[in-house]
Amino acid sequence: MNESTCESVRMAAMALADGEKPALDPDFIAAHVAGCEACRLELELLRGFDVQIAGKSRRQYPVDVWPAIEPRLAAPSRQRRVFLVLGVLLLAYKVAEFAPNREFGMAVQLVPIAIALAVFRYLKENPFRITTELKLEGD
Amino acid sequence: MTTNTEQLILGQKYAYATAALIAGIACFTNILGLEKAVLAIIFARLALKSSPAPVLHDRRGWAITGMALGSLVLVLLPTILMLNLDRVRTVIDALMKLANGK
Repeated sequence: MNESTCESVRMAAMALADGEKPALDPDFIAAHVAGCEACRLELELLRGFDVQIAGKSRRQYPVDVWPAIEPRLAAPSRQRRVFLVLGVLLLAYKVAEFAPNREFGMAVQLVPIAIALAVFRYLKENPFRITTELKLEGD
Repeated sequence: MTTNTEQLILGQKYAYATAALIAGIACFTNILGLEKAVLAIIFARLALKSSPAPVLHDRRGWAITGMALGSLVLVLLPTILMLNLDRVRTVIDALMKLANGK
Protein backbone atom coordinates (compact mmCIF):
# COMPACT_ATOMS: atom_id res chain seq x y z
CA MET A 1 0.00 0.00 0.00
CA ASN A 2 1.08 3.55 -0.75
CA GLU A 3 1.98 5.50 2.46
CA SER A 4 0.25 8.70 1.32
CA THR A 5 -2.94 6.72 0.45
CA CYS A 6 -2.92 5.13 3.94
CA GLU A 7 -2.57 8.57 5.55
CA SER A 8 -5.45 9.97 3.45
CA VAL A 9 -7.65 6.96 4.24
CA ARG A 10 -6.95 7.21 7.98
CA MET A 11 -7.83 10.91 8.02
CA ALA A 12 -10.98 10.28 5.98
CA ALA A 13 -11.98 7.37 8.25
CA MET A 14 -11.51 9.56 11.36
CA ALA A 15 -13.62 12.28 9.78
CA LEU A 16 -16.32 9.71 8.97
CA ALA A 17 -16.25 8.42 12.57
CA ASP A 18 -16.66 12.00 13.83
CA GLY A 19 -19.74 12.41 11.67
CA GLU A 20 -18.04 14.72 9.18
CA LYS A 21 -18.03 14.46 5.40
CA PRO A 22 -14.85 12.54 4.42
CA ALA A 23 -12.61 13.62 1.56
CA LEU A 24 -12.71 10.07 0.14
CA ASP A 25 -15.58 7.83 -0.89
CA PRO A 26 -16.83 5.78 2.16
CA ASP A 27 -16.82 2.57 0.09
CA PHE A 28 -13.19 3.18 -0.89
CA ILE A 29 -12.32 3.78 2.77
CA ALA A 30 -14.05 0.56 3.84
CA ALA A 31 -12.34 -1.45 1.09
CA HIS A 32 -8.93 0.00 1.96
CA VAL A 33 -9.27 -0.62 5.70
CA ALA A 34 -10.44 -4.18 5.04
CA GLY A 35 -7.31 -4.86 3.02
CA CYS A 36 -4.72 -2.85 5.05
CA GLU A 37 -3.85 -4.21 8.48
CA ALA A 38 -1.72 -1.18 9.44
CA CYS A 39 -4.64 1.18 8.85
CA ARG A 40 -7.02 -1.16 10.70
CA LEU A 41 -4.75 -1.23 13.77
CA GLU A 42 -4.20 2.54 13.66
CA LEU A 43 -7.94 3.23 13.44
CA GLU A 44 -8.70 0.80 16.28
CA LEU A 45 -6.11 2.58 18.40
CA LEU A 46 -7.67 5.97 17.61
CA ARG A 47 -11.16 4.64 18.36
CA GLY A 48 -9.83 3.43 21.70
CA PHE A 49 -8.60 6.96 22.41
CA ASP A 50 -11.98 8.31 21.37
CA VAL A 51 -13.77 5.99 23.80
CA GLN A 52 -11.46 7.01 26.63
CA ILE A 53 -11.84 10.73 25.91
CA ALA A 54 -15.62 10.46 25.49
CA GLY A 55 -15.86 9.13 29.04
CA LYS A 56 -14.15 12.24 30.42
CA SER A 57 -15.67 15.64 30.98
CA ARG A 58 -14.18 19.04 31.70
CA ARG A 59 -14.28 20.27 35.25
CA GLN A 60 -17.22 22.59 35.71
CA TYR A 61 -17.05 25.77 37.79
CA PRO A 62 -20.64 26.48 38.80
CA VAL A 63 -19.68 29.59 40.84
CA ASP A 64 -21.05 32.75 39.21
CA VAL A 65 -18.35 35.40 39.71
CA TRP A 66 -19.97 38.04 37.49
CA PRO A 67 -22.09 39.65 40.25
CA ALA A 68 -18.87 40.32 42.18
CA ILE A 69 -16.99 41.63 39.13
CA GLU A 70 -19.72 43.84 37.64
CA PRO A 71 -19.91 46.47 40.42
CA ARG A 72 -16.12 46.79 40.42
CA LEU A 73 -16.14 47.53 36.70
CA ALA A 74 -19.03 49.98 36.96
CA ALA A 75 -17.96 51.81 40.13
CA PRO A 76 -15.05 53.94 38.85
CA SER A 77 -16.93 55.23 35.82
CA ARG A 78 -20.00 56.09 37.95
CA GLN A 79 -17.82 57.83 40.51
CA ARG A 80 -15.99 59.74 37.77
CA ARG A 81 -19.32 60.96 36.34
CA VAL A 82 -20.57 62.04 39.76
CA PHE A 83 -17.35 63.94 40.54
CA LEU A 84 -17.57 65.59 37.13
CA VAL A 85 -21.08 66.79 38.03
CA LEU A 86 -19.72 68.01 41.39
CA GLY A 87 -17.06 70.03 39.58
CA VAL A 88 -19.56 71.54 37.17
CA LEU A 89 -21.96 72.49 39.98
CA LEU A 90 -19.20 74.10 42.05
CA LEU A 91 -17.97 76.00 39.00
CA ALA A 92 -21.50 77.23 38.28
CA TYR A 93 -21.79 78.34 41.91
CA LYS A 94 -18.53 80.29 41.68
CA VAL A 95 -19.57 81.95 38.42
CA ALA A 96 -22.93 82.95 39.96
CA GLU A 97 -21.15 84.29 43.03
CA PHE A 98 -18.93 86.56 40.93
CA ALA A 99 -21.81 87.81 38.81
CA PRO A 100 -22.14 91.64 39.08
CA ASN A 101 -25.06 93.37 40.83
CA ARG A 102 -26.00 90.29 42.77
CA GLU A 103 -26.02 90.38 46.53
CA PHE A 104 -26.06 87.02 48.21
CA GLY A 105 -26.14 86.63 51.94
CA MET A 106 -23.72 84.64 54.05
CA ALA A 107 -25.98 81.60 53.81
CA VAL A 108 -25.10 81.14 50.14
CA GLN A 109 -21.59 80.13 51.30
CA LEU A 110 -23.15 76.91 52.53
CA VAL A 111 -24.23 75.92 48.98
CA PRO A 112 -20.90 74.17 48.09
CA ILE A 113 -21.10 72.23 51.35
CA ALA A 114 -24.69 71.21 50.55
CA ILE A 115 -23.65 70.10 47.04
CA ALA A 116 -20.76 68.06 48.44
CA LEU A 117 -23.01 66.47 51.06
CA ALA A 118 -25.54 65.56 48.35
CA VAL A 119 -22.79 63.97 46.22
CA PHE A 120 -21.43 61.90 49.12
CA ARG A 121 -24.96 60.85 50.02
CA TYR A 122 -25.61 59.77 46.42
CA LEU A 123 -22.35 57.78 46.35
CA LYS A 124 -23.18 56.32 49.77
CA GLU A 125 -19.69 57.29 50.90
CA ASN A 126 -18.57 58.89 54.13
CA PRO A 127 -15.26 60.69 53.46
CA PHE A 128 -14.58 60.85 57.19
CA ARG A 129 -14.87 57.11 57.76
CA ILE A 130 -11.68 55.15 58.43
CA THR A 131 -11.90 52.11 56.17
CA THR A 132 -10.85 48.79 57.61
CA GLU A 133 -11.08 47.08 54.20
CA LEU A 134 -8.09 48.56 52.48
CA LYS A 135 -7.43 46.59 49.29
CA LEU A 136 -4.29 46.62 47.18
CA GLU A 137 -4.66 47.17 43.44
CA GLY A 138 -5.27 43.80 41.77
CA ASP A 139 -6.55 42.11 44.94
CA MET B 1 7.98 45.42 48.79
CA THR B 2 5.93 43.38 51.22
CA THR B 3 2.15 43.48 51.18
CA ASN B 4 2.18 45.05 54.64
CA THR B 5 4.38 47.93 53.49
CA GLU B 6 2.26 48.39 50.37
CA GLN B 7 -0.86 48.58 52.52
CA LEU B 8 0.78 51.17 54.76
CA ILE B 9 1.68 53.31 51.75
CA LEU B 10 -1.77 52.83 50.22
CA GLY B 11 -3.41 53.83 53.51
CA GLN B 12 -1.54 57.12 53.49
CA LYS B 13 -2.45 57.69 49.84
CA TYR B 14 -6.13 57.08 50.70
CA ALA B 15 -5.82 59.77 53.37
CA TYR B 16 -4.19 62.21 50.92
CA ALA B 17 -6.91 61.52 48.34
CA THR B 18 -9.61 62.28 50.90
CA ALA B 19 -7.79 65.40 52.10
CA ALA B 20 -7.38 66.59 48.48
CA LEU B 21 -11.08 66.19 47.74
CA ILE B 22 -12.25 67.85 50.96
CA ALA B 23 -9.76 70.72 50.60
CA GLY B 24 -10.82 71.16 46.97
CA ILE B 25 -14.47 71.47 47.97
CA ALA B 26 -13.54 73.81 50.83
CA CYS B 27 -11.89 76.14 48.26
CA PHE B 28 -15.38 77.01 47.01
CA THR B 29 -16.70 78.20 50.33
CA ASN B 30 -15.61 81.01 52.61
CA ILE B 31 -17.20 81.23 56.02
CA LEU B 32 -14.61 83.65 57.44
CA GLY B 33 -12.01 80.86 57.42
CA LEU B 34 -14.01 78.86 59.95
CA GLU B 35 -14.50 76.02 57.45
CA LYS B 36 -10.76 75.34 57.53
CA ALA B 37 -10.78 75.30 61.33
CA VAL B 38 -13.66 72.79 61.32
CA LEU B 39 -11.80 70.56 58.84
CA ALA B 40 -8.61 70.73 60.94
CA ILE B 41 -10.57 69.58 63.98
CA ILE B 42 -12.32 66.77 62.03
CA PHE B 43 -9.07 65.45 60.52
CA ALA B 44 -7.27 65.68 63.87
CA ARG B 45 -10.11 63.85 65.59
CA LEU B 46 -9.93 61.07 62.96
CA ALA B 47 -6.15 60.79 63.45
CA LEU B 48 -6.40 60.66 67.24
CA LYS B 49 -9.28 58.19 67.44
CA SER B 50 -8.36 54.99 69.25
CA SER B 51 -10.78 52.85 67.24
CA PRO B 52 -10.18 51.17 64.88
CA ALA B 53 -6.78 50.06 66.19
CA PRO B 54 -3.86 50.77 66.06
CA VAL B 55 -3.55 54.05 67.92
CA LEU B 56 -1.45 56.77 66.29
CA HIS B 57 1.86 57.36 68.06
CA ASP B 58 4.12 59.08 65.51
CA ARG B 59 2.86 62.51 64.52
CA ARG B 60 0.32 62.46 67.33
CA GLY B 61 1.68 65.90 68.17
CA TRP B 62 0.85 67.07 64.65
CA ALA B 63 -2.79 66.09 65.06
CA ILE B 64 -3.03 67.67 68.51
CA THR B 65 -1.44 70.89 67.21
CA GLY B 66 -3.83 70.92 64.24
CA MET B 67 -6.80 70.45 66.55
CA ALA B 68 -5.54 73.20 68.91
CA LEU B 69 -4.99 75.68 66.05
CA GLY B 70 -8.40 74.91 64.54
CA SER B 71 -10.09 75.28 67.92
CA LEU B 72 -8.24 78.53 68.52
CA VAL B 73 -9.61 80.05 65.30
CA LEU B 74 -13.05 78.62 65.99
CA VAL B 75 -13.15 80.35 69.39
CA LEU B 76 -11.08 83.46 68.70
CA LEU B 77 -12.72 84.66 65.49
CA PRO B 78 -16.36 84.70 66.71
CA THR B 79 -15.18 86.27 70.00
CA ILE B 80 -13.33 89.09 68.21
CA LEU B 81 -16.31 89.63 65.92
CA MET B 82 -18.73 89.81 68.85
CA LEU B 83 -16.51 92.24 70.75
CA ASN B 84 -16.16 94.50 67.70
CA LEU B 85 -19.61 94.15 66.22
CA ASP B 86 -20.07 97.92 65.67
CA ARG B 87 -16.75 98.27 63.88
CA VAL B 88 -17.45 95.17 61.79
CA ARG B 89 -20.80 96.66 60.71
CA THR B 90 -19.06 99.88 59.68
CA VAL B 91 -16.46 97.93 57.69
CA ILE B 92 -19.15 95.82 56.00
CA ASP B 93 -21.16 98.94 55.09
CA ALA B 94 -18.05 100.58 53.67
CA LEU B 95 -17.21 97.47 51.64
CA MET B 96 -20.76 97.24 50.29
CA LYS B 97 -20.72 100.89 49.25
CA LEU B 98 -17.36 100.29 47.57
CA ALA B 99 -18.76 97.27 45.76
CA ASN B 100 -21.81 99.24 44.58
CA GLY B 101 -19.60 102.11 43.43
CA LYS B 102 -21.39 104.71 45.63
